[in-house]
Amino acid sequence: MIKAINGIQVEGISCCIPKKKLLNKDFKDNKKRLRAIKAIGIESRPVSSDEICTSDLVLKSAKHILKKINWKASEIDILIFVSQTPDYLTPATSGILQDKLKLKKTTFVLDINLGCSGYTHGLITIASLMQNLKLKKGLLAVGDVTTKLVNNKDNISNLLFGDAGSVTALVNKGNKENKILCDYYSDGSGFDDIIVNSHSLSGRNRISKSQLKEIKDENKNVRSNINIKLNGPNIFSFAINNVPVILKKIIRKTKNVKYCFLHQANKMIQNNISAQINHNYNDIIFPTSLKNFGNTSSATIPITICSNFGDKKILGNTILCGFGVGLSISTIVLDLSKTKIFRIIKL
Amino acid sequence: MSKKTNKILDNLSQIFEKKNLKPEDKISSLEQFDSIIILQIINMCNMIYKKKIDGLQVSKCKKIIDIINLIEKK
Repeated sequence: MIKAINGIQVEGISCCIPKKKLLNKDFKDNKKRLRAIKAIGIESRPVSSDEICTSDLVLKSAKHILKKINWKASEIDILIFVSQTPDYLTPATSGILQDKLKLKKTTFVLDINLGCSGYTHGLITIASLMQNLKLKKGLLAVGDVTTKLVNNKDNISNLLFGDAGSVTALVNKGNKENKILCDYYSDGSGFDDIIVNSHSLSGRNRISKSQLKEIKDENKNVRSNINIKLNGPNIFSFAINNVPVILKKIIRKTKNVKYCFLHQANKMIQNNISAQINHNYNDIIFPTSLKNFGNTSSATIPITICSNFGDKKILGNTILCGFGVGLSISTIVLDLSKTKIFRIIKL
Repeated sequence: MSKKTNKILDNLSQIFEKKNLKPEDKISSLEQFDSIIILQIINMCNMIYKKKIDGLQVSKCKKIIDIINLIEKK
């Protein structure tokens, strides 16, 4: 069911990527990989060095946006950090960011464990809290260093992911304008379609030597239980069968939609979903960022916004749609015409 | 073979990048078969034939004719 959140405006969006870049053409060592690169539509990807964690990318992005929009750290009432690659299992990374950004001690800080749908789930959460608790200014920090979870002998995943962090600044205008419409969908039965099986001493598969053992699957992909494992066909089917249904539902409730920013999973999913939507609504544009950034997990939507509209304005109503791990989908309609969109910076 | 079967076979030839693909060809003999091929088959089925098939169904197919039957019978 479509819900509305009132009074919250997106003030600005910033993104930060690592300086290091990997070119997929350097991985064209066999016919299968060559075909995979063509099918997923990714040519290069920003990749973190060993010492860079998600919070480093997000921190630089946060400092950048606060300076650009002239907000003081002491004004921030809420900070939400969304990632599936936090700095530690515990404590929450949002607290570390609060300290490093010198936010006040009364700032509400919270971590959310999500990937591909993290940006839109995060926006729904922070906007709802700001509206209900009457908080004035908030930061939504999202990011992932998924490349660290990928086994370099996993033929497909090793071509797919990039690393990035992003911060979105939100302000509570307390009015009935700035309406955000949202819808969401979860199917936990697909929990193991995107999974890291073993991560600590407390998880389902307690970390041990046996969990670190590398195993070759039927497609000759090598990974251990501490690596990310994707069931590509299941994720693909989930996305193309469910995302268009949810998108069409929210489009029917909205006028003047010009752009739809989808989570950037791979080119085939992008093309399929946009074709299904454009079959009925052929004037909606689907910007992409896959070619030069890859799948940056929770950061793909802000990366697509900043890489296509840095220092520009996005007019009309805009749709954002995240989908993936969980399995989960969330979609939002909002007005970004007053939002300051910044060019992507590097760490 | 019907026109539709021929068309599906053409589509599969493009996906497998193999000319003269035959219905009786064993999938295990096609070196390209992997999860990307499965995605492309699901995508083709959805986009061209407006039918939903899942990855498990495709991965269970032994021969090209099994994929054709899967699409035609849906």
